[in-house]
Amino acid sequence: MKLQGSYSDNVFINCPFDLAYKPLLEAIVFAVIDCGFHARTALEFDNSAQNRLDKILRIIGSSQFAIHDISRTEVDPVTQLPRFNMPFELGLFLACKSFGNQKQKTKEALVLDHTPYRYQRFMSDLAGTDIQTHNNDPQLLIVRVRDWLRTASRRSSIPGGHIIANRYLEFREELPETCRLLDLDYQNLIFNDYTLLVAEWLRMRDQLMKESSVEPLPPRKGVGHGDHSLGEE
Amino acid sequence: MHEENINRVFSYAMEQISAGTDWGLKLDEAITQAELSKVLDLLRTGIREKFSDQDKMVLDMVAERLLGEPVFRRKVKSPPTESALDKNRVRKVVREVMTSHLTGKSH
Repeated sequence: MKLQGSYSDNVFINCPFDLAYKPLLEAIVFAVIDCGFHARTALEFDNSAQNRLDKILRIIGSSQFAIHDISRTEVDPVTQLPRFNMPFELGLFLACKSFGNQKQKTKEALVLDHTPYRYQRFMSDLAGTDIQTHNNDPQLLIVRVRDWLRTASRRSSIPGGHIIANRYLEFREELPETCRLLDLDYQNLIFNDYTLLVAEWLRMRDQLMKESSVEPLPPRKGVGHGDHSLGEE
Repeated sequence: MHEENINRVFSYAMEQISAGTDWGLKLDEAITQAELSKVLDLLRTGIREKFSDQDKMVLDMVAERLLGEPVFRRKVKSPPTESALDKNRVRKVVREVMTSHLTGKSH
């Protein structure tokens, strides 16, 4: 039986799971965990017998917050059809907020796209909704996620966006070596292993910071605010 | 009164840290949870800029023991999902790699 985490800590991430989106998904997950929340996606279930929609509904029901990235709602060059899973799951989340009980009505959503106002051409019902853009930039995405979580949750303990973005670069720098020592392929980590590695890395960083008498850890060579690369990926 | 309570928390916390006290066992003896909750509520509402980083760390330790959540620094939570990885092994390796990066040693 899997643990579910508490409703007010759960953030449902509704996004593509393809290889091209992976750098963005991994950045979102890092930001969510560094803000003190749980990152939840349909990828966390290993029971293939369970219906996919059931998995998604279960996570939506147990999450106060959700991040919906509709940036990949575009025509597939092979099938000539758009992918509608993300807008569909966004609709499920909004319906849950609208028709659910008092707890469900506290739901908060962040909607993301890669360019401003594009959504108006395929989801005009969302007009008037505050939709944030990320230009497919993981660093910008981290700041967007952090700023939204800070406002939506009203938690003042959430670190600044650029602090998290910089920490993410440090994490990426150490990930290949960490995975090598754990006999893992860092380019093909499964979701549950990745979330564990992120949480343990952040905890260890906090612990080392305490051990060094609250002095900030020194910056790493080659890791700075202006470096927007994500390492090896 | 508020300042007095805050000072009381600080004095007590610093004293206990110096003495290496087990926080979970002894904190409630010196200040009641209701009193401390009141102080922490005040801390959440706008006077936090008065505290040094050391003060904040101390208050977070107190708050985490009594309220389950730190006040200043967010708490990283364990994922609610199952991983086959051995947590202790992960911690050991993460620490090893992080320390070697900080000291500039290659692995």
